[in-house]
Amino acid sequence: MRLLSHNVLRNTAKGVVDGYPLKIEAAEIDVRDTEPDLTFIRHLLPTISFSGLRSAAEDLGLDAAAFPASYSTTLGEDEAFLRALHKALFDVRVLEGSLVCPESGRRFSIRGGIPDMMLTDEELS
Amino acid sequence: MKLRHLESFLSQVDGFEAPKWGLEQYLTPPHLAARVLHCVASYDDLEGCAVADLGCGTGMLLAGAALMDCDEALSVGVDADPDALSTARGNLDKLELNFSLLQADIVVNNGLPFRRVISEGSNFDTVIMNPPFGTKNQGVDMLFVRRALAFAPIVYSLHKTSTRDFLMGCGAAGCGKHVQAEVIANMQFEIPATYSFHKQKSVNIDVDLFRFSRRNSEDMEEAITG
Repeated sequence: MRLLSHNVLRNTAKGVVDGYPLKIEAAEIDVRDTEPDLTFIRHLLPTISFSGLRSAAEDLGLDAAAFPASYSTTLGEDEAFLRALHKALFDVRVLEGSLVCPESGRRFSIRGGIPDMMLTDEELS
Repeated sequence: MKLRHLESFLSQVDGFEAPKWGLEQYLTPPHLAARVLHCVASYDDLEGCAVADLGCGTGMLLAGAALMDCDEALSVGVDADPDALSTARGNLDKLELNFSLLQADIVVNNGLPFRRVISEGSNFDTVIMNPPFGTKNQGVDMLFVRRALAFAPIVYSLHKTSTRDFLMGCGAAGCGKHVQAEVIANMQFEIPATYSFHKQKSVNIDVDLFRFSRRNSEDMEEAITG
């Protein structure tokens, strides 16, 4: 699971309002450096949830302070920031661990890098 | 990308180890997948696009989409079956692909476990999928289309030609005037004898490649989330 995926995932069980951001409990992480495409990252910027990103960064012991609390149009001009953002969103992968709903405490497992977001019948009705 | 190159690449994609009839699991044949992707590319809905496959199985369509230069890092395959996803993951490693996988049941769940990406209005540019035909669970094919349209403005989907009139007749998969539906190709789905109740060696089924597109994403919000 890339942090880009984590940035959109939420718990959609019945009774849960936001179910976001999911807390990451990582047992195994893999980091692979890839070359950022800055134009592309700039294009992504407005779609990123910065609260979700900071939460993930804190959970994984990354430098959460490198990321602002919210989006602003000037962010696209800061190349060092864009590189840090690329690294967080695309290079860091959680291979094993859990995602925990901040509201209900419900745990979703991550195995082989694949988050299991399946809900039970009780959680749906 | 020549059709035969794509088809030969896709022949390396591993299929289901033990297909589950309850989920109507059939491997999309490489021959068919290659043609579907060429059609999608001809509408300019593939290159550079964030693609999702709902009911991705072992990842055949996304593997092809990746080879045809979709935006892999933003593309996601979703399936309810952990065994299929485990094979899909093996395919990712073997073929050095880079899209993400997610286990979720879009049939019982109300769509995908995603927050809405507000500024863009959609999580993906294009959905390309080969949903269950609805032979075992009636109506599941239309449900897949509805769910898909909630997360992408353009949806390509394979359906049995025998259900064409029904699909068109019921107002584009229950989305009424908010969605435009057209059949853009008629193809053959060769299904090898997969399940024990299959008497013949293989059968050819006529399938339609549908292209569904939203007319107005705000208006249809209600229609698709029902």
